[in-house]
Amino acid sequence: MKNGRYYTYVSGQAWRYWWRETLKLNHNWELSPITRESKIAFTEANPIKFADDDIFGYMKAAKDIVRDDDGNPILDKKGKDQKEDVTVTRTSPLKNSVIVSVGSTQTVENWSSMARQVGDSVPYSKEEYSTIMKGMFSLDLLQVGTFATYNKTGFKNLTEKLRTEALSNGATEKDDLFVKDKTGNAAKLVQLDKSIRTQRIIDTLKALKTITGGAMQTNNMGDVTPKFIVLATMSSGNHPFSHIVKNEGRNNEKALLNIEGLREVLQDYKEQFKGVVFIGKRSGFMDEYNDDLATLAGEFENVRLLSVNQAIDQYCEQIANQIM
Amino acid sequence: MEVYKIDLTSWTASFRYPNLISGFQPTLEVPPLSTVLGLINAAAGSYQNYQTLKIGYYFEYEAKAVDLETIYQISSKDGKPTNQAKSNILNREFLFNAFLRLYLTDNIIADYFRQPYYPLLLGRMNDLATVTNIEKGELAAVVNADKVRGQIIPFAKNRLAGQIQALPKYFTNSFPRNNIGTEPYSIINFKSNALATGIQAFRDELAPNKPIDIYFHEIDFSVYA
Repeated sequence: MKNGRYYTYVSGQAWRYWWRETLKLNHNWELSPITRESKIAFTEANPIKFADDDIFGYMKAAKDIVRDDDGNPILDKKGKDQKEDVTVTRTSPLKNSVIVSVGSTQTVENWSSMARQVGDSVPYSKEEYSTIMKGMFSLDLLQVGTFATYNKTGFKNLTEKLRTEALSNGATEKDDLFVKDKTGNAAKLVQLDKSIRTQRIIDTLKALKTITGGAMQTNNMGDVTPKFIVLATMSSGNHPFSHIVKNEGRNNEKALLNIEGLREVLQDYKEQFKGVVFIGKRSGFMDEYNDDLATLAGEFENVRLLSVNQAIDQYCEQIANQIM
Repeated sequence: MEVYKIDLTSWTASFRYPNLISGFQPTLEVPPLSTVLGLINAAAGSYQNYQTLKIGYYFEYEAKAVDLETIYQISSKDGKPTNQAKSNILNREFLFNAFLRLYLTDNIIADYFRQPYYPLLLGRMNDLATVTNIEKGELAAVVNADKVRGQIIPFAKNRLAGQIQALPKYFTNSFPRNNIGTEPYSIINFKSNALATGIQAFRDELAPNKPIDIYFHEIDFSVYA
């Protein structure tokens, strides 16, 4: 709530959950197990095997007993087993915002009743709203399928065991540009094969075409797939598209596309865009901007205006050639 | 004084209290220095080893709300996680439509924000941030600043009214990471009224007729080496 006006929102965590579930359903991702079912451990923290651990990150705090070469525990001064910290953490290469209504909105109370049983019917109510919402995400292409097995600013992605496994299964070593080992040589990151990395990135993006979840689907059939999308590869960790939608009106209730803002971003960051910027829009959604968007796409050689799914597909084709 | 101003915005932001591990997670109303220096590291692409650093910053937001999060509580045995996970709900406070302005004296650091290496965040994974403006400016010194808002000020010597919190200045890049230079700060919300202080600061204008006095933190990292 801001200035006495309400903005509805879906938490970033929920969006990630929808995303994961969609990847499982439509892209055959085997998700890293999280809860115990007889003999499975919670999230494996194994990004080599599980694409979702790679893309969505994890943290697994643990201590392990230090053993000598014969596998016997090494004792400390007090005669207890010496322990070392074997925590592994991975920051998610996929960052997503919350999904929040562009304009202010009001929820209404919808009365329903449950009356299929014998006896009195049971009334209940739920809050509902209808609005245009915005979300943004970024995926760090350099981090996907690329792991540090050493401590990098307090984070370590992989255990030694997984590193060995990965390297014997086609992963390669890659120089870390920033971290040097004791002898002054570049530390070695472990990187999965390009085909695996590309597949994971493309699956993640394509899942947006069919993403579903939340929104009390049973009664509302809320379609949460994007109706307007901008996809671009950038040589930067900035998120410049955050202001391309805005609100107006007496209560800031109108959602507007900020065409001028979009033009400004395309202009200002010209050097940082790699390849084509794809804009996808669903026909019937904000059609009043069709002409403005067509004009905009005409002004820039590197902008293509398509339907949402076309934009996602063509962007995926482009990205397949951009991954090193 | 000649400074580089860097403006960042985000739809959401949250800065956890360093001393609260479980239960309700409120957000600080101004980020600690360690968060800001972490942001600089993200922009730079690597851990910065400073000798000394001079930095000021101002933070504001439009609203505060509470989010519900699912957490998985994993029980441990002998310091090792077991396979038992129990899901629970956590209330986390967050800030809506946040604005952070950094004041730097070093052109090199300012340049990192022209093309940040890692994705920038104001808080946690979901708090994507955008650099909206970078400019050079001249700030006039103010003695006995009375417009100190939206900032954190060391409590020792200054003793300003505000929320008192022990906050770190930075983190080491060792494993595990240790906090550096933790000391009490007064956290002064951007909405605070003018308060008379004995602080030497520098005056900036956030907007016409919206003056703000910026306190510059001068950190000597050799003390903590």
